[in-house]
Order: sequence, then structure tokens, then C-alpha cells
Amino acid sequence: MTRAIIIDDEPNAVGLLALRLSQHCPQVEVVASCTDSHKGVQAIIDYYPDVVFLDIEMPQLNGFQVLEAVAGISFSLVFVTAYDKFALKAFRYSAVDYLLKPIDTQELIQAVQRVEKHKRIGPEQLEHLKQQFSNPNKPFPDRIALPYQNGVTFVNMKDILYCESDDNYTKFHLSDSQHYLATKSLREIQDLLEERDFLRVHRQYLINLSHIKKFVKGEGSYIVMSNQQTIPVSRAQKDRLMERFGWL
Amino acid sequence: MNRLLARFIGLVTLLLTGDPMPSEVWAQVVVPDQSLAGRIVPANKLSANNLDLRPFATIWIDTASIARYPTITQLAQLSPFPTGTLKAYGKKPTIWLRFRIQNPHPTDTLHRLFFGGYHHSWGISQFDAQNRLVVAQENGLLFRQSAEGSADPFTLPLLVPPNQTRTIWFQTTGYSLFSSITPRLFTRIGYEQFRNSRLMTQRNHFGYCCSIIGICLFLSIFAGIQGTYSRDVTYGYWSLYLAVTGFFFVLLLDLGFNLQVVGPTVAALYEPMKYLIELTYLLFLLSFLKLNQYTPRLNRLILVMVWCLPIVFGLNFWGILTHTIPVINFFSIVFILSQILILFIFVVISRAKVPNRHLVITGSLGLIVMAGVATGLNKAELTDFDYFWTDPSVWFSLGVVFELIFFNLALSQRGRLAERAKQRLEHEKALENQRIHLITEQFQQRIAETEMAALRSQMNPHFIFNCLNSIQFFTAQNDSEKASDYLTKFSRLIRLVLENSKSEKVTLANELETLRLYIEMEAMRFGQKVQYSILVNDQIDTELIQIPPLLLQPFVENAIWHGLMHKSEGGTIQIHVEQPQPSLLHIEISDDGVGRKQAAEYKSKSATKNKSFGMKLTADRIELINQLYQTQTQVDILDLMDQQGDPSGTKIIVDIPI
Repeated sequence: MTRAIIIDDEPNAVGLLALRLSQHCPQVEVVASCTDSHKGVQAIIDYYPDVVFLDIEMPQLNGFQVLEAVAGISFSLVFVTAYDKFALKAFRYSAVDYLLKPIDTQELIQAVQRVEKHKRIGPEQLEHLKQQFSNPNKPFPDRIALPYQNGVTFVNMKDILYCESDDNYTKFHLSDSQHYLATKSLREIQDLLEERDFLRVHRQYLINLSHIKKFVKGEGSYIVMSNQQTIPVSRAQKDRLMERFGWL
Repeated sequence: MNRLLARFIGLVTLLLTGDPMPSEVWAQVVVPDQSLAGRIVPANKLSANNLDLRPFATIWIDTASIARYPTITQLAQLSPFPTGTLKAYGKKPTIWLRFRIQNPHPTDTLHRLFFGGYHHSWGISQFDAQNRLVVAQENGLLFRQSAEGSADPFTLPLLVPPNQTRTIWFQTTGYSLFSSITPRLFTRIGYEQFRNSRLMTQRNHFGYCCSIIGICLFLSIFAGIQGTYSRDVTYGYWSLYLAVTGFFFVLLLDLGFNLQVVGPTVAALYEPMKYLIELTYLLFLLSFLKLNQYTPRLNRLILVMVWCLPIVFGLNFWGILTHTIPVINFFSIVFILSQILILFIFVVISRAKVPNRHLVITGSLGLIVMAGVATGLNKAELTDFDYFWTDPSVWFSLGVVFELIFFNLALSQRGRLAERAKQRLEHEKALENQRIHLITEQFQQRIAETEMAALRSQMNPHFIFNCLNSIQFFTAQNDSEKASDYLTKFSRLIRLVLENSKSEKVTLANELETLRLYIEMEAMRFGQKVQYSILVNDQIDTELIQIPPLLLQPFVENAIWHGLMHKSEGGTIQIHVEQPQPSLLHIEISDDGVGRKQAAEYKSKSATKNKSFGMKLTADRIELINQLYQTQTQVDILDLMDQQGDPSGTKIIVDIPI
């Protein structure tokens, strides 16, 4: 049995989530649901849940303040929010799980499955997230949280040379010859990183444009990265690369 | 050349000291033989076409002007016509000349023209053998006769009946130089030849004078046209001055060459003309210097003096026509006074602020210098009319041309400056218009932006998705009625907001409906925590009153989120709408939430900084609306206190002029 607590200032939202959980995730038991953030804090302390479904914008204590109040306690976290694009991006940079309102049943099920793999949110992630929220004018964070098999690691954006697709996972190649296997698909990474100096030049590769050493055009175009690694460029992506190059 | 040099020195001396050098300058008369003096003119000489009478004349120089014309005979002290030089100082003496002419023919009357010289006034009286006065006539530039037989001011008819002797007394005071006293006897043909030859020898003068006239008249017409275009009265005065000067030169030409093109009355204008010239010249100067703008009092003073000139002109003219000579002396004084006036004006010029005054000064100075040269030449008896460059009128007209050039330059510069000033003004006006246009555009853009922002803030995703989430709950509970009800309300709200955001003003009913729906949605989300009441005064016709859209919702949102929601049990929002005056809408939005101070504490810990966006945005909007519509929409925020002085809520007052 996975024990869950729902904290949301809107009673309807709490009710809906509880209802959906009971309908589609019977293995989840809602031990407490609070519309008051103080009461929510108390509930976490009292019940030691496995997962907390947490709204962010609440009066009195917001989502972060609630988490701070229960800093010592470890649990899986799923943010539930109606929030905008900015918040979603922040979540993704921090590798924090979230659900959008109105709640999609499928996504709820998947989130619960991820929870059951015992992923806990780390304090660094939380801090990273908070930083992003408190600096809404800064377009991109300098670091990105990469979830991997046993946890979450933080990586500097400028240290990433390229990312290589590996089925549903992504292998990050860093400048100091380190590798990380992130439990996210390349598509998801691409969505996030292509805002910056990254480009998907091949079905399998997403490269950091600021680490390009050479671009060789021809029948089979390829790029030489700063660590001498060659990356093939697919014909379809060649034009996009040229565009970005001119711009760079 | 030595002669000229000597004369030049004499001229300079004259100009500097006012005294002509005695010996060389005053008279140069050559009469070859004095032996014939006093004799009757011999018959063989009488047949000549052109007879110089001086050898046959005796002269009396009446320095004291004792004799009164024509009763001369007894008192005359006659002597032969002088040879060599005549010295005289001071006032010009009256000159009397006596001739005796006898007609030897038995049957024919002797017809001759007596030519006295180019004098202002002269006369002859004819006595018969018994010393009885036969006829006395006067002539001269001043007293032009239109009497029969006398065609020009320099000749008088002489008739001697057959076998008669006449004694002729010639008298003149109105001569300029002694050497210009040249009594001659002409036959008609001889006189014609004399006149024509003069024209031929002085054809340079003639041509020159004609060109001056042409220039003046042409410039006058041209200036007149310019004046019509530019509507500048200065051009009018300039045109007038040119016309008058041109006319003066016409008179001068007619007089100088004895063309007799203009009648005697018009020719009599020659003398008084200078007053008219001065008049127009001064008028032009005054107008050009814009004295009426810079020194109006001085201007009026000068104008008074200036307008005396036509009176003087009229008097002079009349005096000439009616032969009242003593007036002449008076007029020379007047003329001197007017020169002083001109000098005075020059002093003024040097202080005037008009930019082109240097050109005008140069031109006038040039004319003065040239006129001085001319006068000097005149007085110094350097007149040798055959030589172009010693003719005073040549120098005078040179001065005139010089002045015309400079004045024209000044005028056209003035025109150009005015043109440029006008262009600059128009340019600035265009720039100003452009700037205004730009600002207006920017302004409108800002307003549009704030309206967009207001729209986005009201229809923010947070609100939308939370509402939909809530509605989904009702669906999940199978409460389709409630779900449907709220879904309908939600759609209506969105529709209203979207439509209202497109208009500049919406009805009060519209805005209140939007508010009501919004509060109901929030109440749906939070249930009991959000209570509300909207009270509108019955007298108010909400369908008629118009206010800017999306104005009130941010205040209500603020009241809910920063007031009520911080209290666990929630609270009530009250909206009161009053119309205390026909032109004022008074709206109060009060909540019984935690009050501003505590709300501020909570806000500083908020997850994002967005929530206060609505209030600032609305404040900006209100300011823009105030600027655009020149209204005074005002917002006041009050903290509500309870009995114990603790905060018990907030009240927002919005006053909208309508």
C-alpha cells in the first residue's frame, strides 16, 4: 500500500484527486487530505506518507514553505498545479514530477508508477526549483537535474557536450569525459535543451552547439566536438544546423 | 590732364572747406576782343544762325542787387564783358547785360530767339530807341513760359520791326555758374542745330541717362510684383522710390537735353522732385529697418517729420508755378534740414537690429558720396559737359545705381531670410506634428498593451485550469447538473471578458455581471470561504452608464486572494455601487480578510511575484485612461479596523467620472 497525502487549498481539487486515485490507483491509500497548508504540514509529520500530492500556490503557506517545514522527512513528491509554462519548465529542469490540472487520468497513473519506484525528491532539487521560481526573469538555470537509476544528479549546462539516445533513456556526455544515463527520453531532453544552444542533429544525438570544433559538409556531414568525438549529422537536420551556425 | 588735376584739387578744397579756391575756380570766360563792346550788332553778324552776343555786350555786376528789374537803365554801371577770370565771393550778384540790335531790313521783321543760358530764372526787357519799354519777359527753369513763341526755358523770342533798334537788357540772378551765362542769338534753324549738336556731343550722357531711367522703371515694376507676392510693404515703398527716381531722371533728361517731351507744368516738378525722392526714400528706409517694430516712438517722430515733406513739395511746386521766388531760399533751408534728418536716421540705422542694414548703409553712403562728388563738381565749376566724367549728373546717377544695387541686394537678402525663416518654421511645425503623431501612436499602443495585459491577467491559466479542474470534480462525482451549471458560468465569464477587452468602454451592467461570474467561480472553488454581495443603488441605470472594461476585477481578485484566503474560515466580499453625483460613479469593494499589513507579509513569501501584478497593472491602466480621456478616476485603499483597533479587512474605493 502506498500511503498518500493530498494538500491543495481548493476542496474540489482535493476531492477530484482523491476520487481519481480511488478509481484508478487502488494501491494508493489517501491517509490525509488538507485544504489548509498548516494542517498539511502537520499531516505529513504525523503520517510519514510515501507520496505527497502538493499544490504550489496556496494562501498562508505555499508549496515550498510546506516542504521546508517538513525538511527532514523523506517522501516522493508530485506537484499538482494549474500553473503556466514557466512553472512546468522549472519542474523539468529540476527533474521534479508534476501533474497538470485538470488532471489527466493516464498521467496520474504513470506518476503513481514512478512513485512506486521509490524516487524521493532531494533537497538540492528543491533548492534548484525554488531558485528558478524566485528568479522568474532569468530565462534558464545554469544547471539541470538529471534523474538516474539511483537518484538525481546536477550537471552544469555548459559541461554537457552532447546527449545520446539509448532507447527510452539518454546518455549524457560531459566535457570531463564523464557519462550519465538519465531516465528520460532524448525527446524530453530535447524539448528542454533546444531552447538553449542545443540542437538535435540526428535521431540519436543532441549536441551542445558551443562545443562544436568542426563542421564537415559533404555526403555524410559530421561534426567534430571539442573532445574529438565525431557526431553524424542527418541530412534532414543539416539545414537547421546551417541556420543555427549562421546565427552563431 | 593738368587742368583736371588742378580742378580736382580745387574740388577737394571746396568739399573740405566749403570755400572755392579763389583764383582758378570761379570763372573762366574768354572773350577774344573787347573792342566791340557796347556796339550795335552789325548786320552781317545778324544773319548768323548762332551768334555769340558776349563781345557786343556790356555788363553790370550788381553785387548789391540795387536795381529792380526792369527799371535798370539809369543806374547801370556798364563795362565790357569780362575776359579772363572773375573773382567773386559770397552771395551771387545780379548780372545785367546790355545789347543793341538793329533791324536793317526795310520791310521784314527780324525774328530771332534770344538764348540766355541754362538758368533758373532770367529775363529780358526790350526798349525802343526812345527808351520806352516795349516788352519784358521772364523765363528760366523756374519760370517756364508756355507763352507763344517761347518753346523752352532757355530762349525768348526777339522781334525787331523793320528799321528799328532795340536795346535789350538781360538780367539774371538764377544762374549757377558765371560761365554758364552765354547770351546768344539764334535763328530757328540755328537753334535746332544747336540743340541737336548738343545731343550728339553728349550722346554718352543721353544713353547713360536713358539706361538709368530704364533701370529705375524696370526695377520699380519688378519690386511692385515682388511686393504683391510677398505681401511686404517694404517692397511697395521701394517700388515707389524707384518710380519717383526714374521720373526724376526723365525730367532731368528732358531738361538737360531740352527735349521738351514733358509739358512745362510737369517740367516744373524738376526742382520739388527731390522732396518726393527724399520722402519715398525715407519711407522705404523706415519700413526696411522695421523701426515701427523696434522703436515705435522714434518711428512715429520720424514719420511726422517725413510727412512734412509732401507739404514742402506741394508748396515748392506751387511757388514755382506762381513765380513766388523768395520761397526758394526758404526751401533751401528746408532741404538742408531734411538732410540733417537723413543723417539722424543713419544714426538710428547703425543701431537697428535688421540684419541687412550694412548693405543699406553702404548703398546710402555710396549715394551720398557720389552726390557729394556731383555737388562738388557743380560748385567747383568743373563743368565741362562734353566730358563725360565731369558731368555732375553722371556721378549722381552712378551713386543712384550703386545705391540701387545695394538696396536691391538688401531687399532680396531680406526676402531670402524671410523665406528661410518661413521654411524653418514650417519644418519645425512638421517636426512637431510628427512628434505629436508619434506620441499619440505610442500612447495608443501603450493603452492597447495594458488592455491586453489586463485581459491576460484576468484570463490567466491558473484561474482557468483551476476552474476546469473544479468542474471536472463535479463530473467525476456524476453531478452533471452542477458541472453543467458551472461550465456555463465559466463560458459566459470567458466570453464577457474577451468581448469587453475589445471595447474602450462597457456598460456598468456588463462589468458587474463579469464581476459576479468571477466571484461565483471562485466561490465554486472554495465553497464557504468566499461569500459575496453586490449592492447597486436602485437609481442607477446600469445599462446606461459606461466605464472602462476589466477595471474592477483586479480589486476583487485582490480582496479574495490577499484578504479572504489567508483566513482559514474565509470571509465576505461586499461591493457597493453608488452615484453620488450625475457625473460620478462611486464603487466600494470591501472584504473582511486579514488586512493589508498581514497580506504584505504573506506576499513576501509567495512562490512567485505574480500576484500583485494585477494591482499595478490596473494602476497603470487607470493613469493612462485618465490621460487619454482627461478624467480623474481615483482609487483609494482603506484599512478597516475593528473595535479593538485590530485590522479587520480592507476597503477599496474607486471613483469613476462618467
